[in-house]
Amino acid sequence: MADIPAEGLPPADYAALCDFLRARTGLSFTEAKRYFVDRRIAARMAAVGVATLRDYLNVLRFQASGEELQRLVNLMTVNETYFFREKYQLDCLVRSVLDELARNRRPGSRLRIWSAGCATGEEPYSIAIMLLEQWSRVDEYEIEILASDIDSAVLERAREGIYDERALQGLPAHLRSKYFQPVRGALAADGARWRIIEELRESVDFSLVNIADPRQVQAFRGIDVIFCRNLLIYFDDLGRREAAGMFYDALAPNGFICLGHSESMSRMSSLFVPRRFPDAILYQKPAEGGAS
Amino acid sequence: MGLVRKKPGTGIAVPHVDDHGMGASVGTADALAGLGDADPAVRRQAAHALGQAGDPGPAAIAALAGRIEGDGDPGVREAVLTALARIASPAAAAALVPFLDREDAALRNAVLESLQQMPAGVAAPALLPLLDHSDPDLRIFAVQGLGGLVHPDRAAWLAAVMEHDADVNVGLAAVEALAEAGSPEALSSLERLARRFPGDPFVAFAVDTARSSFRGG
Repeated sequence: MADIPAEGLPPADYAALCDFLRARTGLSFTEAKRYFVDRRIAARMAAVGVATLRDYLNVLRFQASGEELQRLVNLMTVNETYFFREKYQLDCLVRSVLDELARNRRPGSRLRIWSAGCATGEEPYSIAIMLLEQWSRVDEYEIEILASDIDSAVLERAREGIYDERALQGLPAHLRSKYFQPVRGALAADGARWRIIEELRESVDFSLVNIADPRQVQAFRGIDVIFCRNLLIYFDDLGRREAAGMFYDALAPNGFICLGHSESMSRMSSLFVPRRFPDAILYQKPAEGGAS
Repeated sequence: MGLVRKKPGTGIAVPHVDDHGMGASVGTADALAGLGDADPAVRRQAAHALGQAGDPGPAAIAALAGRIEGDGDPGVREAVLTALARIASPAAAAALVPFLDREDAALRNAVLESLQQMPAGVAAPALLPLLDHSDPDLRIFAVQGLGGLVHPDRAAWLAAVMEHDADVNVGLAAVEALAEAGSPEALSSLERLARRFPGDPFVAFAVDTARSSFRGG
């Protein structure tokens, strides 16, 4: 039985747990998130069969497979999203950003877009649909869409590409019928479901990545546009600053990063130049050297 | 052309990290060597690695500090400052303090931000001695740095500045820092600052503004 008092973990234990999670994953939880953390820790301690937080931390630290840490991370991240969320930023991509990037590229060359913190896949698939539907030069370039998340369970769902009505509510009907197929049988038992077509599923390269780990982010280089929306809200100030540094390394010169509407790069790092486009503000890595 | 469709077995190769730790694969010695590499990307990676190495020791901290002004790449400078903020040892804090007197305002601000991103118990001992420095600009930076820390003695430090610092601008910096967080317990120190500089209309204005913010209106 998990030995967590009704009022939750003692402050010192809670702090030790938060320090551990921050160091391993970049995720930052304050006292304000206690209700969220305590319940999930208690559930995992019970599932693993340990009585004290100390024992549970030992499992997280020393389990060779890292399975329990992955399970906990999967529980600790919120993955609420939907197609065409904050669409003005996708409009900015197809109306302004890609044209600017393509200006100095030969037709046939590659453009790389990375959806960091892609959750169940709505964002990278929305990007794919926007490119196919609204960027007139889409067939002149090889466009690679990469997508990553720290949560292995949501990545499985992203690869599967099956969505309910709520996820598709922002999608015009003609796009739904063009890019999705109704799911029948057991998968639709709890309500209508649609599966994104195979061509799009094969157009997004999903991978399990902890963006707080430089070794993993090192696989991402020469990226032209990074979408990192509503992900860094889970990080503390220093974690955000470190993540900004990682994205700086991942981006090609003149590459762009797109943050969530409530986030501002100027509060995280001085390395990027804000760029105001008609539809949105993005942040750009300077061609040579940094912004400061 | 168009969207690149992935084929089985292809795709981005993200290394599996068996120990789920960060930065452990690069030894301190390798990272130190990397700090001197000709490629700025390698220098940034080296700084990241040192930042994730716990306390990498005095030689590494000195090498990182040496890159703050010695490296022409802003990305490396930012990676170095972030690494020192992450190391967050007394030595790392002490290594940052000398840069607060530089003319480069962007550098000063980045250094101050790095100190503020350290635990208050580490940053405060590095900043407090600056309150007695002969240069009022440095005292102002110390006030700004201390004002951004979450520490139980924060209001007391700033109150002491308002009551004793001979330079009106240093006192005003303390007022500003206090007003941002709203610290009503410092009200009496605020009144004292107003009495110490009775002829200065800006002091009167700043004190009035802070007083209103403390009183919620």
